[in-house]
Amino acid sequence: MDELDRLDIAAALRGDDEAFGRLVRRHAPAVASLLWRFTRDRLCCEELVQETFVEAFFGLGRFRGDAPFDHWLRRIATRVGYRFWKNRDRLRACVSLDDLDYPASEADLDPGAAGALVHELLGRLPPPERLVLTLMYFEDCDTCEIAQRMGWTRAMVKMRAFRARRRLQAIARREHLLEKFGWMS
Amino acid sequence: MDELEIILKLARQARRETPPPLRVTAAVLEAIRVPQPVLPIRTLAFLAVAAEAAAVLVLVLAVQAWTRSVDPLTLLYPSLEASLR
Repeated sequence: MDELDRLDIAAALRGDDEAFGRLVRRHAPAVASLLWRFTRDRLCCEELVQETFVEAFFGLGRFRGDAPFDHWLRRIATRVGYRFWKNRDRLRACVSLDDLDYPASEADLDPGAAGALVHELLGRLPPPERLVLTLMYFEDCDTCEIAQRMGWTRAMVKMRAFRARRRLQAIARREHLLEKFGWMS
Repeated sequence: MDELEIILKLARQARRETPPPLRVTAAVLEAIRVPQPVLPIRTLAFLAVAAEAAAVLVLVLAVQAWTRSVDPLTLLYPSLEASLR
């Protein structure tokens, strides 16, 4: 574990709020980057990041310190994001994929537009399957890491990944993704 | 190239995206400084003992009621008493 993190965690456990503030400032960008995959609404993302750090603060006594602090935070953030999907995101109306901007060539393909498009496609999956593919595609997680983060079995993650890919392919076919990205092949 | 390969390629591109800058530190510190409602340990212990006593009482009554309902001899007692009278 990072020495700065270790010192600040020890100070925060002794009641030094400012030390926890330093931890927040240091790790907020990484947590925000992860939670941006769960919602692309700025205010919503801000709330989820706050929720993650508040949960981390109250669970700080349970942090064993045998893994880097940011791994532990990512685990909390993933669960916060997943809970958000299960509670609120199912109520949201899906944006029609036809309303999104499609790049005409590789040069036009900027990361933001690509992110928005994949977010909308994955948003059509049920939360457990969406989570598995979100972590695989955006975070480069393998099945073992996803299982650890969520407390699921590896077999369950593999099964959800398989189902999610099959369902996603059907959605993409329905949306004529091959025609829209014909320039890729 | 199939649909999933296109999505994978888009996701790889999206990994380079950075979210808008967020200001969360002040809100987090404010949230953790709010005193959390804490019940004194004696109150918690009292509630636990009371709940346990209630649970034991309910269990005893339930066992008695069940025993009475399944024991055929208990059905004989009222008729036996009547014949003795």
